[in-house]
Formats: sequence, C-alpha cells, structure tokens
Amino acid sequence: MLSYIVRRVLAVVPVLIGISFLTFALLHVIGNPCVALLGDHFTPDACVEIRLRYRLDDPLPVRYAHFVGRMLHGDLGNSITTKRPVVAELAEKLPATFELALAAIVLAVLAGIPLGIVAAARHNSAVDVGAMVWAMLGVSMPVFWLGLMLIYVFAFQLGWFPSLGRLPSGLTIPRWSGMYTLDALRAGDMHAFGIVLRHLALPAFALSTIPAAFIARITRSSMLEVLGQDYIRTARAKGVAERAVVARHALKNALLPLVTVIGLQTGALLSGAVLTETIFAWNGVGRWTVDAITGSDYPVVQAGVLVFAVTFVFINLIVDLSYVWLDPRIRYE
Amino acid sequence: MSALDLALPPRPSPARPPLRDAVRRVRGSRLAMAGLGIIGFLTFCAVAAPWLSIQHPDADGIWSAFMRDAKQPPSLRHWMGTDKLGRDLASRIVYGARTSLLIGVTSVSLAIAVGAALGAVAGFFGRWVDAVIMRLMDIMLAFPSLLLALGIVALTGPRLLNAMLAVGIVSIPTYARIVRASVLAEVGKDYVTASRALGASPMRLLLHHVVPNALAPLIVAASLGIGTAILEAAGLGFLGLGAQPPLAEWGLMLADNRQSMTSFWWLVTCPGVAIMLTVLGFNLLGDGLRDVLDPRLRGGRR
Amino acid sequence: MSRTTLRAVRALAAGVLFVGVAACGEPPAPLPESTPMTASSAPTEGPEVGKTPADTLVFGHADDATKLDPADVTDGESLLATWQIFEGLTRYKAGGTEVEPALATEWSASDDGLTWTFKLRTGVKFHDGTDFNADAVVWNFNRWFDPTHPQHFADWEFEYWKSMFQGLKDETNEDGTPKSVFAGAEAVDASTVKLTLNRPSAPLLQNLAMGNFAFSSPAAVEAAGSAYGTPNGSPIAIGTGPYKVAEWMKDDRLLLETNADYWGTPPATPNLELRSIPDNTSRFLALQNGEIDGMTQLNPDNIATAQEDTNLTVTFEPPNNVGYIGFNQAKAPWDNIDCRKAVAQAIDKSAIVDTMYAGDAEPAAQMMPPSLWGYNKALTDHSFDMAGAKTSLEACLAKSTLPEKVQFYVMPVARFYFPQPKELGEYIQAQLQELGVTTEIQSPDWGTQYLPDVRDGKAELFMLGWGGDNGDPDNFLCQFFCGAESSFFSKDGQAAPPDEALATLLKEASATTDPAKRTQMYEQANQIVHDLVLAVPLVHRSPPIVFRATVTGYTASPLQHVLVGVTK
Repeated sequence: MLSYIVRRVLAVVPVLIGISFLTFALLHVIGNPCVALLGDHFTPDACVEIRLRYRLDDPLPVRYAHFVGRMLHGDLGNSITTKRPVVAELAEKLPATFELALAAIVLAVLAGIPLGIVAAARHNSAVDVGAMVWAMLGVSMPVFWLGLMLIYVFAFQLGWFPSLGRLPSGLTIPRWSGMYTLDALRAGDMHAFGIVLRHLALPAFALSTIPAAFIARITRSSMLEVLGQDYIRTARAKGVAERAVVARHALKNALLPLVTVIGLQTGALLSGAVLTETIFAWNGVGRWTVDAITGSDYPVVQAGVLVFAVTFVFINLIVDLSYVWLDPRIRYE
Repeated sequence: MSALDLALPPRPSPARPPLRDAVRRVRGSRLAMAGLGIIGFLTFCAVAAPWLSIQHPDADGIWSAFMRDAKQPPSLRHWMGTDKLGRDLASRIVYGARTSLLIGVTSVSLAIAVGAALGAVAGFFGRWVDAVIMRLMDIMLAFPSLLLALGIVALTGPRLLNAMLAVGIVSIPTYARIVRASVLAEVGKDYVTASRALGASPMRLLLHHVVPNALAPLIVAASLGIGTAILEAAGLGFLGLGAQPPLAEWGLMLADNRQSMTSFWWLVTCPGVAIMLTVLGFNLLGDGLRDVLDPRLRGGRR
Repeated sequence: MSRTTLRAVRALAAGVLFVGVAACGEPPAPLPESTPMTASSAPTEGPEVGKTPADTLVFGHADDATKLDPADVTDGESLLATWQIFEGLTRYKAGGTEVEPALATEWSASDDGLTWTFKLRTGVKFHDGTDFNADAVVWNFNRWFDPTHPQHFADWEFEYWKSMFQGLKDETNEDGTPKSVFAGAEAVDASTVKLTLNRPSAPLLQNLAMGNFAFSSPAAVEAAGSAYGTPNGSPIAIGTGPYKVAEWMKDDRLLLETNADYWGTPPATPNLELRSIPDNTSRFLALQNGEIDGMTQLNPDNIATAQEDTNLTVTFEPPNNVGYIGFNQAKAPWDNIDCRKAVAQAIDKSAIVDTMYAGDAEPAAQMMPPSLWGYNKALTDHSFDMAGAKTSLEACLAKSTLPEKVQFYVMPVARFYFPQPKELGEYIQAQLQELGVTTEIQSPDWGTQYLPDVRDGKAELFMLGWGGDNGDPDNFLCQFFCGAESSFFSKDGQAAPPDEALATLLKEASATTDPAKRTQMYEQANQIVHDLVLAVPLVHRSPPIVFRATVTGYTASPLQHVLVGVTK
C-alpha cells in the first residue's frame, strides 16, 4: 500500500514539470515575449529593457530555470492590461471559480447518484429509460447554450434568479475566504447567504449538467454490474435486507469507477467553468483567462492555464489515493 | 498505473467477431440505430445543403435587399426566421451541418492518426519509449481540454483551421491510450513471441493482430469523440476563437445571435438544438456500439 | 416502494430542499428604505434580488478601471471612474467641449503666452481632509513632470502627460530645446498658482480640463506609495470630487459614496456603483432585467431593441471621433490628387451609415467632429458619384499608374468608430472594384502589427480613426497633418506632413491664443484638407448610453460621462 502511495505521488512530479514547461513555452518560446509583455506599449527601446530584465537572450534552459525559480517564489509576472502582479489577481479570482465548481460538483453528485441508483434499481423500466435519455441529453448539450436558455427563462422571463454576477448591488459581505457562501455564514448573515445561493444557482446548475449526467450513467452501470454479481444473489438469498445489500455490498464496490469519474469530470468542470463564467459574468479565473486570450495578455493566460492544469493534477492524485481505501486489492500491493 | 488504467483493466481480446454477426448486432441495438438515424439525417443535410436551403449562407446581406428581412420570426418562407443580417436561419443551420461534420471528422481523424501511431510505438517498443510517450500523454491530459485548445488557438490565431487542429491535438492522448492498451494486450502473448522469433516484421503483427483488437474500442471512442469535437469547436466558435464570420457554424451563430436573444429567441434556440441533436446522435451511436462490440463494459442483469 | 427507491427519493428530496432554501432565502419584500452604504457595516435590510437599491445608481460598463490614479491611465473605463472622484483646474461644460472653471476660478495669460496665472477656489478639501491649495497643485504638477520626484513612480507611464505636454523635465530635442511645453509650476500664495511654459500653447486650458490632469492629495499618494490607485492601496484614491471611494472589488464593482464636504452641488444620487460586465449582451440583459440602472457600449443590434423598450431611454452622445480612410502619399499614385478624388467620390457614406450602424453614426465630411469649434459649417463634402469618380480616375491614370493590387489596410478588430471593420473594408473594396481599382486587404494583428505597419508606410490606403482627448481641434488636425504622424506621408518610417502649407497653418493655430482667430484658422484648415483630399473621412460615431426610464438628469457629453446630476 505504501509503495502505491509513494509511486502515485512521485508520478505527479514529472507531470508538474511538464506542465510548467508547457506554460513556459507558451510565452517564451512560441510567442514573441517582448511583444507579449509590452502589449500596446511596444517600442524597440522598451524591448531592449525587457530583454535585459527577463534575460531573454540567455540560453533556453537558463530561461526556463529562471521562470521556475520566479514561479516558486510566487512571481508569475505582471498582467499587461492592469500591470498588477498576476498572483494578486489570481488570489482574488480563484475563490469565485472554486466556489462555482464546488457547487456544481455537489449538485451533480446530489442529482446524479440518486438518479443512477433509481435507474439501476428499476432497470429497463420507464424510469430507467427516462433517466438515461435525460442523461444522454445532458452530455450532448453545449453548456453555454444551456446557460443562455436558463438565463432567458429563469432570469429574464420568470425573474426568479438574477442574470449575472455573484452579488447584487448594495450587498457587501466582509471578505474572509473570498467564497461568499462561506463568508456569509461566517458573518452569521443568513439573509445574505440566501442571496448568494440564489446568484450561484443558475451557473452552478448549468455547469453541473454534464457531470451529473456522467455520474448518473456510471452509477447506474456500476450498480447494475455489481447487482448482477453472484455474491449479491447470495446475500439476498441469505436474507440480508435489501438496503444493506445495496449500501454495504453494492455501493462500495460501485464507488470505485464513480470516484474515478468524479475526478475526471472535474476537468470537464474546469473547462465548462470558462464558458459559464463568461455568460454569467462570474468574476473567476475562467473568464479572466478567456479575456486575457482575446486581449493578448500572455502572463495571465499562462497563469490561468497553469492553475487549471495543476488543480486537475492534484484532484486526480487525490482520487488515485482514495483508491487505497476503496479498492482492497491495492492494500496488498 | 493511473486512474483510468485501474478503472478499466486491459481486457482479453475476444475472438474476432465475423463482420456479418457484428452488423446484425449493431442493427439490434436500439441506441446505435437511433444514433445512426440522426447521423444519417445530418449527413443528408450536409450533402444536400445547396438543394435544401433557399439561400447561400455566405450571402452578404449587409448592403443588399436582405436587410429588410432582418430578424423575422419563423414563417412559411423562412422556417426558422431570419437573423440580424436578414439571412435565412434554416439555410445557415443546414450548411452548418457541413461545417460541423467536417470539424468532427477532421479533428478525430487527426487525433486517431497521431494517437494510434504514438500508442502503437509506446506499446510495442516498451520501456523508456513507453514511459516518455505516456508521460507526455499524461501531461496533455492534465490540461482541461477546452483550455488546452484555447491555449493552442491563442498562439496560432483564431481561425476554423486552428480550432480543428487544437481540438484534434487535445484528443490525441485518448486514442494513444486505447491503442497502447491493445498493443500491450497482444504483445505479451506467446504467439507474438513465437512470430517474432521466426522473424515476422512488427508491421505484420500490428496489422494482423493488434489492429483488429483495437478496432472496437477505437470505433466507440471515435464516435463519441466526434460528438465531443463538435461541442468543443462550438465552444471555441462561441468565444470567437474558432470559426470566423461569415462562416455558418453553429457555435458562431450562437455567439452572433446572443444579443438578440431576448427579442428573437429562435435565433439562439435553433442552433443550440442543432448542436445538441448532432452530438446526441454521435453519443447514441457510440454507446450503442460499445454495448454491442464490447460486452464486458455492458454490465447488467441477465 | 423498495428500499432503494425510498433512499433515492429521500436523496432527491434533500436536493430539492437545498434548492428551496436558496430560493426562499429572499422573502418577497418591497424595496427597503434607503440603506446608507458604508464599507464596513453589514446591510441591515438587504436589497431585493434583481432590483437596485433606491439610493444607489448602478452603472454598468465594459471593463473595470485599470487604476484609479488619473495621471497614469489612458483607457476610457478608468476615466469614467476618475471623473467622479477627481477634479482639475478646469473642466468641460456638460454637453460640450468648452472649458469652465473647476478648482480654478479665474485665470489669465501673459502677453507672450508663456506664463499662466490661476486663482484657486478656497475652502476646498481633499477626501482625506487635507487642504487643497497652491502647494498641492504644484506638488501634483511636479509629480507628473519631474521623473526624479519621489512619487513619480518608476513603472508608471504618465502617458497623457507625455502626449499632451510632449515631454518630461530635462528631456531635450536634438537642438537642445526642451521637449516639454511645460516648464514649471509655482505657488504664488496659498490660492494662486503660476504655470510657466517653454512655448505658447493655446490648447492648454483644454488640456488641463482632461481627466488625466486632475489632482490627488499629496499626503495620500505619499502614504500609499506605488500602490496608490490600486485596490490594495491605502488609501486607494483621494481627490476633491463629488464622490469618494467607499470600496473597490476589482473586476466586479467600484462603490462610490457622496463626499459630504464637497464644495459644489452634491450628487443627486447618494451612492454610485460602477459594475464591470465585460459582455455587452449580459450587460444589456441585466439592464432590461433591472439589475443595473444604466450602461454604455451597446451591441448595435440592441440599440433598436432599447429604443423600442418603454422601460429604457437611449441617448446618443455628441460624437467626438472620426473614422476615415487615409492615403499614404509617399506611394504613387496617391500623391496625385485626381486619384485620391476618385476614391473619395466612389464611396457612398450614407449607405455605410444606414446599413452598418444602428442609428448611432453620421457621415463625416471633415476630419474632426461637428461638435467641435473650428468645424467648417460652410463646407460641402465630395458627394457619392461613381460616374464622376471614374472621370477622376481617368485623369489620374493619365499621369500615374495604378498598381495591380492596391494595399488596403483594414483593422481586424472592432474600434469604437468602426464596430464592423471587416464588413466595412469589404464594402469599400467592392466599391473600389466597381470604380476600377483592385485592392488587396491586409489585416495584421491590431495589438502588435497594424499601427507599426501603417506608420512604416506599408499601406497605400488604410482605415483608421481617432477619438478626441481634449475638445480642441488641434488634437485632431495637428495629430494628422502636422507631420509627426507618419501614416499620411511616410517613406522608410520617416514622417513628413502631406502638405507643408497646411502644417504651417496648424502649427501657427496651436500657438495663437486668441480663440476667434483660432476658430477661423481651423475652419480654413478643414477647407484645405477637403480641397486636397488628404483623407476620406467616413463616419462620426455617436456612442449610445442607455438608462432605465425612471432615471433622469443625464446630460450627453462628447468628452465625459456626467453621472453626478443623475437622479433615480
């Protein structure tokens, strides 16, 4: 077991190095760093100064080393548009994306798992077919289109939810973590908490559709596979209560692919966050990165891509490590 | 060993099903047939576009009489109404089918070509070649696909061609893994060692044994992959980083018509539904094929 | 039902409950009474979701301010914010470009135009309580002008200073003369300031009214250091204006509250919130939904929608820009007036305005907008006349040869004067093709390549535009034709004026201080530009601004957004 853990953790290292190199290459090798870093203010003289400051004429490995060094010191450069340190802006926007993604995954799990279980329990019934059709539609729908439809129906026509933003005008929540749900709870302001949830509802729902659909399908197929096994039949024959059958025997074994899917779906979630944040004017890393791409703000593009990639790697690491608990085979490796 | 490998352990190769038997089983799968139906309709639209539409989609209605027809609701003449420049929406959607199919097939073909080659090399030569290639694939998989595609497009410039390239590149690891798994499943077998000892060339082994083994999961993955590619390209088009105006591409149409959404909802609903149905078709086909061609993954009570 | 189903139903019910709590978190209550907003207090009675608080004007703009120090910003979004917080010596009259007193009550110039004396308003305080006086004015000028000043922070640009005053302290030209128009500032007494110039500058008052030359509190800048003007600055921004900064959530919203000690008319709405919503469509939807009270920058397609919506009022600001086609006269045959005339006659400006703009533009006849003094009202434009154009082209071809493919530069991204540049470029290409001139469109990347290429003289025809900064015709005409701008006559990157006589006239006009004489000179200049067809002005764009119908008191202005008088 220990060797498994160690091996998995160590395997992350070359991937992280690869990610850092890819993001470095983004700006320094493929793009024109002088132009990218100066943007509109590009003049040949300013370029000379930039070349000196960023050591652009040094050999590639040296530049990469400096890049990594600066990165480890928390320096990801300055945004070309605002000239503020990228790290500072990142710290401001990360909680927003995190909150959105978390809400989406919670919704996806809450919706997907029960749906999958029900569909498995009522295999081949109308419920099963209906659930699977819904799941199919879920993964086929473009997330940005769903977001638009939701805004049109629920915000514009019905007025139940706001159409954009994290907070309405006139509401300030003392900032502690940057995640307004937590901050409102910490301030004990349930009224504000409700309002924040209302703002979170539509984007989180839009974002959760695809993961929910995947989770429902995987839950269903895992449950079906497990429920068809001999030992389940044996347990039933022995008179074990159905609930225990499902919970103790079936569910735990079905969890393995489920956890895998949740981990993989986080990647889809991060991608979807980019589109959702744009539509809902959500002040997070996704929107920041897209704006930076259209605005040619390469240091920000670098940072955004880096953050998402590293997050994804660590989530998958956690998923892999969770197998230690979920998959007994590993304990004996 | 990574997450995916654990969840789906390499399967033993089934006896190669006779083609007729496979086709019969595909016909029996409702999912696959539904998917094929949708895709068939889509292909028909794409091929017959010039005859099905009343207007060429690139008709520049800016300074012509089209303008007076702008933003018309669905009517007998314009089944889906007209957009802000007076162009018939239905025609543009039908032509959009061409673009989408092109995007899907091209990017997946690229991904399979490169991915299969990489996977085969990795599986066959093993050891450090395998390690290097698989690490590279892991790194690529570490980036959320849309973001990696965005990054590639950011560098190469916003154009449909670059979007297709980006979407293709992003899917390479999937196919590489599939082919590698198939290769690995075969390479360990006795007959392979025997053949190699007898001097059979790697190419022959690849073609005669590995390819049939890999074909099933590849087809499934490709089918699902085309759907994904279409979705991602639409996303890029929506962000303005893929297809450029005046091309009739569904994602681009969504972006263009978004501003009229509150007054002319059909301009947004129709392209979105088109995307959804298309992707649904490929997903149905992929799921159906998976059920048919790979019984291990089916799972269910008999 | 079976246990599994029961379990599933319970889980679903929990989920529904969860969503229900969220939806019920907001009791449907009528709008609360005005809740004064301070940065630290939690709201007592929250606002209703989807509606704006009664005491706050919520204004949506496309981008957040990059910085709240007016001296260092160039973008309109930052200036939108700083206009409400800071003031300078002079300011523009609401609705126009004339200058009126602001922090200076009266002024006079010496006969040689090199010394200006300003009498300052007394009893004015900065938001941090420190006095506004002559010392503060001198401190600010020195900070902008002197690179060795401790608060002239090294990585800051002070771009507009360099552009309007042409240089910093101790910068000299090749012949030793100082680059800068400005020489120094001196406090004569607590409420009188003397500005000395190196050469007479007639646009000085107009320049000083620009938002970039508004004053910050010296104590504040010293305290905040180079974080001044940023969200982590302490303080963020201290001026003398009617609003002061309450809180700034970067890229989300900027909250401004009334300056209780303001010397002038207090703002009509106690609080102002500037929300940044980058996407035009989302912003418009929020406006229609009542989540914001006003916005700028509409999608052209939404203008008609907004005009038809009885809940919204659309106002068009007087144009302060010009979009045009320029000729690079260094490349033959564009030095031949007949060829230029042919192009000018081949373009139907009314058609362009009708089809590519949504009622927010007018055809342009001169290279500066009609809202500016110095506009020649008597001038008639070259009319659209394809037959006449072809005749001119024949005359042109008699003396010069046309290249096979004329290099026509069209920008790839929307500009505020050309929202659909690609379509416009293609239209013009089609018109020129009909005339008999074949063009090849080049669209290098706007951010990095377009301007350098045009300035290097790679283009023969090019689309460009200009937005006025200070309401002075010099800002338009001299910018184009005084010779510093290499696009109109550029050989190997060396700039020269396309017409020497015009350049001399313009330079003289910028040195004359008599307003009547200046007006006449600029009218004459406009006539020359027209007669010589130095460029083909296409459109002046009037940006729309939309408010909810219940919001009143906005005065449309070409140079600023006057939000102070707006009432909800």
